[in-house]
Order: sequence, then structure tokens, then C-alpha cells
Amino acid sequence: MNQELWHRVRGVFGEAYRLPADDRTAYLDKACGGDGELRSEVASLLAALEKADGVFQPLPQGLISTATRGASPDTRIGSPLGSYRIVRKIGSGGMGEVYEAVRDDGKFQRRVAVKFVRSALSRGEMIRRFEAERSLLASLQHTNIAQLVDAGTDDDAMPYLIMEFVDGKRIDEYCDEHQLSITERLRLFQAVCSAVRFAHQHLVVHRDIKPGNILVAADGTPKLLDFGIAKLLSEDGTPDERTRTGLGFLTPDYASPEQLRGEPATTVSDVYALGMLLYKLLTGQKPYEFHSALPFDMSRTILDTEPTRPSDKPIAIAAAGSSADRIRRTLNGDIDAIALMALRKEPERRYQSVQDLSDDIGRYLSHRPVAARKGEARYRAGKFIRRNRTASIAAVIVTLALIGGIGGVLWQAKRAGNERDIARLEEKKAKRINEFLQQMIAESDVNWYNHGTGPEATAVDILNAASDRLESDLQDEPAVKAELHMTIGNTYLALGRAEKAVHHFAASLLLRRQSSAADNHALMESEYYLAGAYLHLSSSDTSVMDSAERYYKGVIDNLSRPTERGDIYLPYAYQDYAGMLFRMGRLAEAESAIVRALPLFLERYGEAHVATAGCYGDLGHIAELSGDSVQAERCYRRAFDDVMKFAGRSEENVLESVESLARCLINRGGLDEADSLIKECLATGTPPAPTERVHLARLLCCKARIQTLRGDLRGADQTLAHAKAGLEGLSGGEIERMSVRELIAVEEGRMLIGRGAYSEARRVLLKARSGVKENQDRYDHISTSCDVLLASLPGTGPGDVRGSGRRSTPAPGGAGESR
Amino acid sequence: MLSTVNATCIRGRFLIFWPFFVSLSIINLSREGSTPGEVTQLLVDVRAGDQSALNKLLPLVYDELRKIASSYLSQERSGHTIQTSDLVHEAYLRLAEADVSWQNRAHFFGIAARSMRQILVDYARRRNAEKRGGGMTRVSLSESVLVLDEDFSRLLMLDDALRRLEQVDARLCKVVELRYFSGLTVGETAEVLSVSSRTVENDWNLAKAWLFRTMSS
Repeated sequence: MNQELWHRVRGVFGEAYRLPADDRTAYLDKACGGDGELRSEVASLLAALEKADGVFQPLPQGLISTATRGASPDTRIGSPLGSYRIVRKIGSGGMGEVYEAVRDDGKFQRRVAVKFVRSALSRGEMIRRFEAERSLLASLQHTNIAQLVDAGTDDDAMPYLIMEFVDGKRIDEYCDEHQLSITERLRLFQAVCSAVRFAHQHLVVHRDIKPGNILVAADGTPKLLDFGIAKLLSEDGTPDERTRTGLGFLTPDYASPEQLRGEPATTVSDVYALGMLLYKLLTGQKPYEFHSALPFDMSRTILDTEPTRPSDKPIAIAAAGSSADRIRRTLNGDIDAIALMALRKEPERRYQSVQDLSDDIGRYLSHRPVAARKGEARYRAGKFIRRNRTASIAAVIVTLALIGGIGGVLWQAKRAGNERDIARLEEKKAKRINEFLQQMIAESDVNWYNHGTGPEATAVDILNAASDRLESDLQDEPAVKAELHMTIGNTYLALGRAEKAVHHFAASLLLRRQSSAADNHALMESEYYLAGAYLHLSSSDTSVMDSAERYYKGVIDNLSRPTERGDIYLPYAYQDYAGMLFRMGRLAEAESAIVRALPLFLERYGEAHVATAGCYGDLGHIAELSGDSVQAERCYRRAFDDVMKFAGRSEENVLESVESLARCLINRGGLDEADSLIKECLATGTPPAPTERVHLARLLCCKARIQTLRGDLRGADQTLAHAKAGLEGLSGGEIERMSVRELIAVEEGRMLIGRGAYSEARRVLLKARSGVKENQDRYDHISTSCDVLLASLPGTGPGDVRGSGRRSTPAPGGAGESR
Repeated sequence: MLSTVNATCIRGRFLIFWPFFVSLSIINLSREGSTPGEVTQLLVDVRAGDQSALNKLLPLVYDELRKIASSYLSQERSGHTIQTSDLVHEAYLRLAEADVSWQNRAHFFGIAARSMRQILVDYARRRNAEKRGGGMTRVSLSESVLVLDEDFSRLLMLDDALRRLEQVDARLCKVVELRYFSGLTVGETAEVLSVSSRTVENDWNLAKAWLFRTMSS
């Protein structure tokens, strides 16, 4: 077609297509005159236009994104990688590219996923980390974990991971596609939990659990991808500003508040991420309302606002046969509590392990009361207290009792039977307990708030009032009453009123024994607490110990039945019972109780937990007192390792385990190792909380002892002054229980002997020994140490030391300032 | 032993933000490759008829579009869809931000539109080659958007037809590139091509009719 003709076609067409179809023929006749070629061309184009809509169909979204992203030809496809051959690309994202590869060695074909990892880390650093983590990650062999097969670097030194190939769908999409019910979703979620728990037992924290990292295979098996990968790629010591420079960083959707604050991710952070996942699976939504997509704003929202209850969210999931309303009703209550407990901002207030979370879901599924409901009330109480810091302790305690009591009642009611009855029961009980507490507050003179004789005394007054009232009240509600007895008993115990606590726990036990509703766990709770309260009684009467022993044995016998398998009070009863036996000097029995507790804790918490560390520590003490310092050292090392591996450890746990190990090392002559251990521990330099200060003082005693033994008497003196200063302002139970002042005196005596100040040393040591006696001589080795040191003083006759305390060799007791 | 604990603490810092560094480095890279002044000069040279300037500019723009696209995608915002118009506009802001003269802008968009078409067609061609012999296969993407084989085929046919249209009327081809491949509005297209909106509308419809007739014959 020549240019001139085309020009005319364009002109005529431009007018004609705008006309209504009926007017076009007339227009063409006029505009084309006799030019047949022009006319037929325009007519043909006009006819084509009528049908031409398909030409400019919108470009497919996926085409735009993949085409623009992967525009340069992918040279990896088809190329070999070790013994694998890359087949196709399966995806790519911020982390890097993922390919499918096959290994074909004639006999069988293996499909794997190869992930080439992009990171701001240098390749050398990444390779180093890969080498370090590889065996750990490769050891994660679990049905629900996509296994790491291998790792390496390609010809360009680009690091890659080879993982089990998972042919599946994202978990949230899978659930909707198969229209899984809430129950089915919960079971699927539990399978995911089992994988995470398994990894935690192998000391691997996922750090990046999200729906995109969980694929469900066609047979319904979920598989977690990328275990430990986030850690491999995390930045070390990168300056703050880079995280805040604006656009482009990962949306923090699933990250826990502590991760957002830049704190280390722990197993409990994974609990949080699982909570987010659970929320998403059950509601199709996220728990927060974001007002902006800026990561910074999102972080603020996550850190500052409370998540919405799942049942208050618009439900956006597809479950067969369930309307949104029905789903919401299902979620209301237990599931709300479980999800919110997993999502708590404070790591220490969440479920402490994935097992706990999964167990609670199990309880829900088997229609048993969930722990989160109980925790919920206490948690709210805690929030209340933190909001009202200025209120007196008394007010706080009353509030605690009030909220804790109600929570307990609701929890209790849940056990009773079918839902309608529960609803009625809950309403009734809540009403009763409200009445009770209101009257209690009204009757306890309102002046408590302003004119107490001291905050603690006032709190006890109020508790006394509550206690008196409870005796005559709630006769018709034994379950409520039993629960309130537990609450009040615990409060008394916390205030050091053990005799009152014994009374209330016993009352609770009695009521629960009489109850027709069989709830063995609750019964054992009362009995276990009662035994513990007996041990806190200051009476040294043997009948007290007998009572404690009787109740511990009761709990142990009851819970050792196969039907009660897994009850958490069993290992704790063993452990506490062992502590009691230890104090009574029945070391062999104590040891056998600990040996029974240990596997139960291991089963429950996995490898490293503060509870298992406690068991090893106890075994260490027993070995130490039995004179087996080799075994003691082994146990203390294990305890220390467990504490350090346990993500939820407290500073107190660390101090305690370091002190035991250091003390044992000193006794065995390992001064250098003990010294460096103590130095490292003290170097952390955070201001200690009151309970930590007691442990810190004990650790400083170890330090002083090393200094004395090395002849640095000045240093020892300073260290002990430091230890004493740390105890200033502290009073009561913990110091006495740990015999800290006496321990300091022993070291002072040792230091003074080194100086040759014998009379001063004698005065200090004698005082320490009598102090230990006042503390019921629970720390027998301290008086033994006093005796040994006193005996070493010049001019000391046998009569000056207690009993036949003069020993030629200081071991074991004399050497060990052990518990 | 305790120093291990401290190391863990440090290692834990900012771990969730790492992809940010990745995308940041992408943006930095694109800045290193060219400066706005450089791009402006190339645009001026292109207008002056310098073919080599165009040859330099095309890969720059092509790369930039891809980089922008991947930085968009690496943010993985849920529900975020990527539009060619966003890409082209952002490429302009990045490559030629210091330059506001409308002539250069027009040129830039012309080039970006051509690049965009090239990127999409290159990709479709490659995918089509891979799929040849298979039936109707779907390509599943991480964004859970599907692209069907017929999308690729249609795109390739359109590209063929456009090549022929360019021989007949280069402006029509430009209008299609700007509107269809770069997502510009009628007004923007008119501005870029220095014609009236009505003309753009006419061209668009004529091109549509012409392309359909060619593709269905």
C-alpha cells in the first residue's frame, strides 16, 4: 500500500469509526467518492475493529513480573551442579533463586531443590557459616521438615543449598483449596509444631516461619522449608541506619516483637511466628490492622498494639460447610486464648515451648480445658499491675486474687461438661465469685489503701480478710472455692506466710477430694503445692517433713500410673522431693528421685531446658557431698551447658550454674578455668535484679576464694566488700535460704587467716557458724567449712569446733561451699 | 562459654531485615551504572540522530526496567501488582531525574516503551521455545498468577504483526508500544508523540483493527 493511500485510509477511518454503525456506509460513500480501493480498505478495517477486542487483552500480571525479572536468559538451566543437573527454575525472591534439579545415577532419580543464596554477606563469610551449620541442619531428619541434602559453592563461588524437593502447595492455600475445617486445620498445624519442636530439640531455631515456608504435599503432609537458613544469612553487627533507610525492606509481618527490636531470635520467637501462622490459617487474616505498608509503621503497629481476637476478625477462609459466623463461634474462647497467648509481646509470657502450644491445641481438640484460658486471666492481671505501678502492693494483690480467681473459675467450669451447661455454669460461677470478692473488699477496711502499717502488712490484712470470708462462703460451689483456696494459698506463700499457705492448700485438697467431678490434675496440683508449703514452714519438727514426704509420695504414686502419663507435676514432684531428701541428708534417695525426674523433663522439654539443668545441678550437689568431685564436675558442666543452650534462661540460671561449676573447679584445683568462667560471667555487666544479686554475691565469694588462694588478699577483700554492697537493701527469704551472708563470712575468714589476723578470723567464722544454725543448718557444708577453717587457726583445741568437725582432709564438705 | 552467648545476641540482630540489604544493593547498582546527566546527554544525542547513542541507551533502560521490577518484587508485598506503567515511570525518574525537558522525556518514554515490548516478547519467545511440544501447560509463579501458553503465543503473534505495521505506519506502532506495553494513558501518549489526544485515539483504533486483520488472516 502506498503512503498516499494509507494517509487517506487513516483520515477516513478516523472519522468513520466514531460514527454509529448505521451512518458509516453513507459517510464512506461521501468520503471515498469513487475510490474503490480506499473504500474497501476502510470498510475492511472497520469490520475488523468490530471484532478486534482480543488484540489488546490486558497483559497477564504474571507475565509482566516474571518477564521483567528474569529477562536475561537463565544460563543455569540445563547446567550441571555437582552430581545434579538443574532442570528448571521454581521460584525466586529476596533470598535468591530456587531451581529444581535431578540426580540420575542410573538406579534411581532424585529430585531436589537447589537454592542459590543471595545475601549482603561476603561469600567467604557465607561459606564459613555454611560449613559451621551444615552438619547441624543436615541432622534435622523429620517427616515434616524438608531436609538439607547438601551445600556447596558453584563455579562462580556462589553458595547454594540442596534441599529435599517438596511438591506441594503453600499451607494457607492448601487449607482453602481443600476447604479444611477448623479441626483439620488445627491438626495440620500440630504437625507443623512437631517439626519445629523437633528442630528446637536439635538446637535449631527457624526464625522465619511463615505460610510461604510451609508446603503441603498432595497426601496432606506439611513440610517446613528453610530451617536455620535465616540464621545463616543474618547480618552481623550491621549499623542501625541501614534498617531504617526507607523503602525496600522485608515486610515484618511474621517477625516477633523481639526480632523487630533487634534482639536475638529464640525458640520462643518461633512460638510467636507459629501463633501468626495459626491466626492466618484460622481467620485468613493477620492479627494487626496496618495503616501503612511501610515496614517501620508496621513494626510500630506490631510493637504497640494488641492483636485482635481471632473471633473478632472478618473470617476470610474457606471451610466446607461452615459459614463465617459459625467459624467465629468456634474460634471464640479457647482458640482466641491460645492464639493470643502465642502472640504475646513479652517472650516470657508466651507458651514457653512449641510443645506447650501444641499440647494446648491438643487439649482443645479433646475438649479438655486449655491452659491459655487460665493464663489469660493472670496475664490480664499482670497487664493491669504494670499499668498501675503506683498502686500499693495491697491493691495489686487484691486485684490479682480477683482476676486470678475468676480466671480459675472459668477455667474450672470448662471441665464440667457440654457447652451449654458450661455457659450457664460459667455465668453463675463468675457471678458468685464476683460477689465474694466485692464483699471481701468492702469488708476489709478501706483505709488499707492509705493508712496501712506498711505495704506488706496491709496486703496480709486483706488476704486475711479474704481467707476468713472464704471459710464461710461459697459452700455451694466447692470447685470455685477450691480454686480460690489455691490462689490465696499461693499469695500467702509468696508473702512468706507458709503456715497460712498450708492451711489453704489443704482446704483446697480436701474440697477437690470430695468433688464428684474427677479431675486428677487439679487434685494433684493441690497436693503438690501442699507438700511444697510444708517445706517452707520454719518449724524443724520432723512431723512437718513427714507430711511433706507423704504428700510428695502421694503425688508421685498417683501420677506414675500409666493413665496419668505426661502430667507435668510428676517430674516436678520428683525434683522437689529430691530437694527435701537432700536437705535431710538422704542423698541416695534424692539421687534416685532426680534420676526419675530427668527423663520426664527430657521427654517434655527436649534436650536443654532449665528444668533438666536443675536436675544435673542437683546430681552435681549430691555427687559433691558424696565426695565424688569428678562426677560433680561432670554434672555441673552439663547443667551449665544446658542453661546456656536454653533460650529462655534467666540471668539467675546462668549465675547459679556458673557458681556451682566454678566452685567445683576450685575444689579440684582448676583455678584458671574457674577464674575465666567467673570473669566472663561478670563481664556481661547488666544491673542485676534483686534475686540475681543474691546469686551474684555467691559468685563473688568464689572469686574472692580464688583471689585468696592466689595470695591476692587485697583483691579478695575488695571482692567481698563488693558482694556485701550488692546485698544492701535486700531482706528476707532468699538471702537466708541461700546462706549468703554466712558464705561471705567464710571467705572473709579465709582471707583473714591468709593475712594472719587470726582473732578477727575466729570472730567472723564463729558468727557465720551460728548464723548457719539459725538458718536451720540447711547448708551443712558452710558450717563444715567454718569448722575446718577454725580448726586450722593456731591454738585452737578440738573443743572449739563443733562435734568432731576437725578433719584432716577438707574434702568433701570442707572443700565444697556447695549447697 | 559466656562469650558464645554474646555472639549469639549480636548474630541475632536485624536478621529479619536482611532482604532489605539485598534490594538496596540492587538499587545502588543501578545508580552506579549510569547517571542522570549521562542519560540526558544520550537522549539529546538520540534526538540529534546519533544511532550509537540509542544503542547505548537501550540496554541501560532495559536493565533499569528489570532492576526496578525485581526491587518491586523482592518487597513481596501481598496483593501488590506490578504494572508496566509503574516500571516505565520509575525508570524515567531514576535514569533521567535531573532532566525535565519534555522533548527528552518524550524520547525516553519512546525508548522505554520499546524496551518494555522487547522484554516481554523476549521472555515469551523463550518460554514458548521451552514449552514447544507440550500441551497447554501453565506456568505457576510465586505470586500465584498464571500465565498460559496461549498468552505467550498471542504476544508473539502481536509482535510479528507490529513489525509489519511499523513498515506501514511507524507512529501507529509507537502508539501501541506506549499504550499497550508501557501502559501510558491517551493523554500521556499524546504528549510523548506531540499529537492531539484525538489523533492518539484514532491511531489506537486503527492499529487495533489493522493488527486484528493481519493476525487473523
